Amino acid sequence: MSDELEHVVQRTRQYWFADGLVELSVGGTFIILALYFYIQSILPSGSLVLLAIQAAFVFLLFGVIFLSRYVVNKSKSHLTIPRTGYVSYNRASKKQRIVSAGTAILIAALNIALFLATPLSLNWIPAMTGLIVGFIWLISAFRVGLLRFYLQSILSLLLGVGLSLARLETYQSLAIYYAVMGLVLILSGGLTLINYLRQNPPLENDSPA
Amino acid sequence: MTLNLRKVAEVDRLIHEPARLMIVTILSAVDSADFLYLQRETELTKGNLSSHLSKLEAAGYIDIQKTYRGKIPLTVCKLSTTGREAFAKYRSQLKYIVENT
Repeated sequence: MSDELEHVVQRTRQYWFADGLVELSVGGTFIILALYFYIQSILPSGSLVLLAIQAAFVFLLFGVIFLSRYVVNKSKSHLTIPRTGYVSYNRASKKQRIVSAGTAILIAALNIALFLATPLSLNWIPAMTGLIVGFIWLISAFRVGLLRFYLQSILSLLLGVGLSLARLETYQSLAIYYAVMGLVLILSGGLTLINYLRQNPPLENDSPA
Repeated sequence: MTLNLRKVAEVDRLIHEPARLMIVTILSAVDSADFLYLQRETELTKGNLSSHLSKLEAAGYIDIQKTYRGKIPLTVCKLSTTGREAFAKYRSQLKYIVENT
């Protein structure tokens, strides 16, 4: 019976991803990042425009993340909740948030230290990106048990390492990485959404008992 | 009555009922869930689900709130602190029974 209860819990965790909207939004975010790195790769080094774009990266990233969350929540209100219901998930505990923030800071610090120590290691930025994104995806896959998340995690790692071995210019590699991952996520999310909408037609207007 | 049989008899019968066990298990994994989600996951009829929710609410195991998300009316259910403690106790009782029989 314990296995069956665990299965029920896992299905509930999977529900957030059942409509593919999260993958679509992450895919869209990755496409924007791909454009950002592509623009950097074509601008002349040291130009004012390039410096301005680099300085705006953090604002761009946070802006895109907030926009994505808004779009996902709005879309779920129109598409998902009327069809299959509403679930609100537990917020991460204070301890979990501290551990996550600490881990992110540690990874960032290690990356910076590595790249400052050996300029040649700039070639490995795509591999590190693939590893970090892949690791985050792997944790999600383990938590919700979705096969496609495992596959996306493996793809991220292989793509990152492959681009590093190809020894392209760093910004070009990152643009390719985010473009490919973005397209894969949009495809995956889109197919999931189509499948979800087919299996869950809109309900007749009928209030619960 | 042997100790093991007594343990079986002490299991929380309100939670032990299969439909209510499903409901409580789902609610234990989240902050809250609405009536439609619970109905789809448990595959109960509206009337049946309402009846089970009423029993859980009467025991203080869940809180039910009628609210809106934008313009969409929702009947949202949430496991109370009492309910979470009762479910945790139920799970440990079940674990004891399974491991000792």
